[in-house]
Amino acid sequence: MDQIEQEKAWVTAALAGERSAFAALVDAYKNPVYNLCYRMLGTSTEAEDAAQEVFVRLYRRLHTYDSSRKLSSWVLSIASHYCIDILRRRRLQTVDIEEMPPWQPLVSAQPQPDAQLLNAEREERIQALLAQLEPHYRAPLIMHYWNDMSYEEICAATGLSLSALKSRLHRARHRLAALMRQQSPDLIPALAASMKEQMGV
Amino acid sequence: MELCDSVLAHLSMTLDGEPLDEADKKMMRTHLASCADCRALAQQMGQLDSLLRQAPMKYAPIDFTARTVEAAYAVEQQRNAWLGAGTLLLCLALFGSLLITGQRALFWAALTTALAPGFSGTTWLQNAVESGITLASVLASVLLGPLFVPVTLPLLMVLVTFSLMQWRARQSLHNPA
Repeated sequence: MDQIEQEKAWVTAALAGERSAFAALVDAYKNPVYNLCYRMLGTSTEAEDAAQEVFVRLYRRLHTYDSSRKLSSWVLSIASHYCIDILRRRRLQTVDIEEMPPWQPLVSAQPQPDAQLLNAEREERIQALLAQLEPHYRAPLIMHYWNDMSYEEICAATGLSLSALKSRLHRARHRLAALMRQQSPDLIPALAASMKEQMGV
Repeated sequence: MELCDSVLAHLSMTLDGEPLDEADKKMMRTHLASCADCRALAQQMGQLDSLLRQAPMKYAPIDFTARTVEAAYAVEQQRNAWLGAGTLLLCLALFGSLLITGQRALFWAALTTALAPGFSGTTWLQNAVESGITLASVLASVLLGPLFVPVTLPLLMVLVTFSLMQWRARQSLHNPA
């Protein structure tokens, strides 16, 4: 059974009240959805809550599912719209990013941090850079880099045209590169060092 | 400046694995050789691309599926409970109206039919007609019933609002802004 047939079978069975079919559906898409929510929102607690809400919404709207569409694109579309809504609401409550203090290393006191700590530190800094991107630039970038989606799949999930998507990816990279130069110019050497360590050089 | 933007946009396409034609490649090479700012930015964008490609995927907790399925069913059950309560209120309004307006024959006909196995709106109407009551008198009883206005109308308004909200949610999902 190919993926689309499998998805249709899950949806039909879940609509008929089969709990195991809905569980299979959640299992299939939990990681892409959780990753998208984490990269959009920045913390594991928020990501977990948001990912759960995405699947609750999916279950409620399952009867509106258009089987000509890929289920994964639909699920990620619900997830990205939900995260963008949260970020919009949050923006009304938080301080301006320009007023935030510069990033502080988490493990600066460690004399010889091991590879795991270095990775965690780099993760934190990548996340801090991502958090400064506008949500509508962030979502396609995450789908492109982490969820490994093609242009067509991202267009289906975000509702963007192909030219608008290319433009957003370009602007997102441009802006992130500029932010990295201003705030974390040592990220690249850290990456090179970690790669050397992994390769045993 | 326009040329700088165009060169960087083309660079972005190459990072996505998009093929460029020879004329575009030549234009990029020529411009990058002469523009130090674009050269630096192009290098940073390339480095950023490697950095993002190496950043790991985040995985959901192990018990995520079980908890999520539980949550989805709990929300659904709650919604069904509300719908059930709404239906019960509607029935109470209809039957109560019949009883209060003295339509005892219709009340018993409706109640026994509703409780009979295989109940449907059609059999209820058939029984009502067989009991010698016209459709007009049924409608009149319901519409003139004292419980109809205070209970049924707000309930209908809630149902219409709920349907509209669902319709809007469907529209925004299928045609995102």
